[in-house]
Amino acid sequence: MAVSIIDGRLEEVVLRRRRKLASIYDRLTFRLADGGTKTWAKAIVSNDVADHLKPGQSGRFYLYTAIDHRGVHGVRTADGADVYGFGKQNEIIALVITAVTTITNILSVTVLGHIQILASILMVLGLPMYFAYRHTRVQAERQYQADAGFRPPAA
Amino acid sequence: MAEARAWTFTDASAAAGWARRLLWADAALSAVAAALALRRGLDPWRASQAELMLGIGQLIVYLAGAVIALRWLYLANANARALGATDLMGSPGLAVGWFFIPLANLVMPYATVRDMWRASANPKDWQAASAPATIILWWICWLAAGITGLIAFRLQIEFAKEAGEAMETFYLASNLIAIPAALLFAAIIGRIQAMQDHSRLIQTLS
Repeated sequence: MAVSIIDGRLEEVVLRRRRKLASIYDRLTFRLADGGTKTWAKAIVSNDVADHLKPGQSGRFYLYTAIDHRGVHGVRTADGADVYGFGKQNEIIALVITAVTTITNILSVTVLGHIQILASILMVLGLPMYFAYRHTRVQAERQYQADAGFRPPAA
Repeated sequence: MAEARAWTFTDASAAAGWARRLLWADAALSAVAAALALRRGLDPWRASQAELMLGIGQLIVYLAGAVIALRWLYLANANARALGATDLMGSPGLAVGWFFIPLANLVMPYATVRDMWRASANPKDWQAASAPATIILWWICWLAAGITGLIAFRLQIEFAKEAGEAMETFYLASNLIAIPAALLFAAIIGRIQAMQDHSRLIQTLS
């Protein structure tokens, strides 16, 4: 499932590192309404959203999974925060790989008369990767917008 | 949080049993092939008819084991979802498909099996569960056996028996590494199946 929602309280926040655009967490542990826990491991979160991920924070958390990457793309908290952010880095990387390998192959066929096997494999992998990341981002935006009227109850 | 598709639990114990038996057979045949190669001093000119038949037997067992193990992988991945593991990567079909996608098949089958282990150990909060080092060890052996086997095969195709001892050495290495790879995978299948059967039993009783 590419996107999902958690209603609950953040119990544990283990930050691995914070970069210019995004923060990477070893794990985020949520306490759910039914008393159970849900862990979101190796999560990539844009810094706008990451600023609201603090232990004890209650609200609705919007999650995504894209291939082997996962993260939190939105949060609506009981104290009124309403923040969305989705990093496009992987999408751009996949697009660049596709473009570079396509150009490499065109040049190779033109100059050398044959295609490059590695470039062809990367080209074939890069395009579906780009669409997978893009599809998840579009789904995440739609999910967040569709839930625009939601306000979590005070904790 | 609800999963978009409702998954139903399918008994995968028969597929697990056959996959493990075939992996044990594969390990045994690899051991015999390695022993015979060592006995004749890695000289390809002295390979007997029996060794040729053994090679064909190895190929048949390997292919049968691969088919059954991939069938089990599909079922076990779907069963992990049926037991309540949400947000697993891709789909059961993709769990199998990763083995056939160039470059991705160097990493993604490992990630899939690792996540299946965690999802079987604790379906409701699988990302909190850890996976044992056995899985990475299996995958390293699996890749090493495949790569050495591929090098040996290319030497055989390109240079035939002129590659001589080098080709035989790579075949020997491939056979020796294939033994722990097959045994570890059989153990992983058995453990994941047992964890899923246990979770299923608890769910049924409650």
